[in-house]
Amino acid sequence: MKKMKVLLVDDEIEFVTTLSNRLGMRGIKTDVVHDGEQALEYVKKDEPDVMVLDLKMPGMYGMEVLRQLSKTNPNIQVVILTGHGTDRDEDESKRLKAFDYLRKPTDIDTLADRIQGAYSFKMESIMTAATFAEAGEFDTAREIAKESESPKTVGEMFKDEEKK
Amino acid sequence: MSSRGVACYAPTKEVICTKIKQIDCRRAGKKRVYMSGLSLRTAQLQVLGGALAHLAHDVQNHLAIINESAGWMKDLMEYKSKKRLGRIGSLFNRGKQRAVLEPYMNNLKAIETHIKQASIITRRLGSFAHGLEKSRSVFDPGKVLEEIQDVLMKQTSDKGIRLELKLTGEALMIETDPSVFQLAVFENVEYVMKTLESGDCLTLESGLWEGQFQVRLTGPCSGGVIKNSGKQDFNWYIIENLGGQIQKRFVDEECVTIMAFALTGSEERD
Repeated sequence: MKKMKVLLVDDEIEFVTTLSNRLGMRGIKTDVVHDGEQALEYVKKDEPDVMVLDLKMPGMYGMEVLRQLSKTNPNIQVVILTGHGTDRDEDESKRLKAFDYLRKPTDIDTLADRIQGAYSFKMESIMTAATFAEAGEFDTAREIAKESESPKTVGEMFKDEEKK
Repeated sequence: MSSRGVACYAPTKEVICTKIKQIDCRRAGKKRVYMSGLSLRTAQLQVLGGALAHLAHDVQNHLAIINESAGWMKDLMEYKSKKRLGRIGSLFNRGKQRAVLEPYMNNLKAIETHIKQASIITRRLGSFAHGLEKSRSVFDPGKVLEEIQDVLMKQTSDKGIRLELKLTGEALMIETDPSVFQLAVFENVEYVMKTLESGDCLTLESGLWEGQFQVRLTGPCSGGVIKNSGKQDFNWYIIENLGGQIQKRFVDEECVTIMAFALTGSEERD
């Protein structure tokens, strides 16, 4: 079974280190970066399934990271975890299709649930798209894939199927 | 008094019109004073609202760290993952030793409860918030000073101090939070006014000095001048978030307060 890849992006080192440890105890292994630029660099090398993203960070603001990801890597499920949280930010993150929006301090089990939920959503979308593709419903599969899955994986699978 | 006498005091149409105009002018004057007072308070509240949003965010961050640290201790004591017990918990988990942990657990629960309460309060404070996105930006501080000049005039005239503004026409771009920049100017003016007396003149200049954008406040060097005040006199929040240098110089010859910022660009203003 594919192992879930989670990236935590937060400039508060003490906070994010402890968070990573606690998620680890709950069976969720995570990598950690401390600003938006590092997050985008990380994504280029190794795309995570779920990203837990702070908003207010030095350099690139978290919302800008989300905006870029929504264009380049729409398959990454993003959970916003912020100490700020205006309604405007929440609305904007929903518009950019963030999976969830949580405010700090949050309950660890709630966060772990949301991460699992985001991963399940992604995997379900892949499986659904794959099922349609297997049945020869390529257009439907492609639509599902567009909404939530990476063109690198399902997209390539379509090409193989269509060649047959 | 005869009826003729009364009649000679009867106001003419012109007198009545003049009186009405005078009354209207007085009312308008009072209304202007009232409205300018309101606009001063509104502008100050707007600036404070922005500052408050940042403060609320910073407090939330500290609460989150405390919450995670307390939670981590709790995890170590009691959390049972699929593979193992919390490390400390496993030491105490046998028999009566479990009771040893109880006071620690109770205190950690109390910490968590109070963090939740404190968090609700700071969220309420944050509801004053402006969005933090783009709070730090590259902007023309001269324009910001122009926007608040009426409020600055009101702030000083209320105490009988004449404010002379000499703002640069050049767009000198700096990078910081505009609302904190405004707050710093207001606070700076307020601070300098403590050394002034009614009737004194205060000059606020902005421009390019020593390759930096500077806001200089110069007052007369009369009695009560604060000598060689350091930047510690400033609000810590401003120092932390302004991203510029604040130098205070109150010396006998030169009574001036300086806020200095590195330039990120300059151009002719439209």
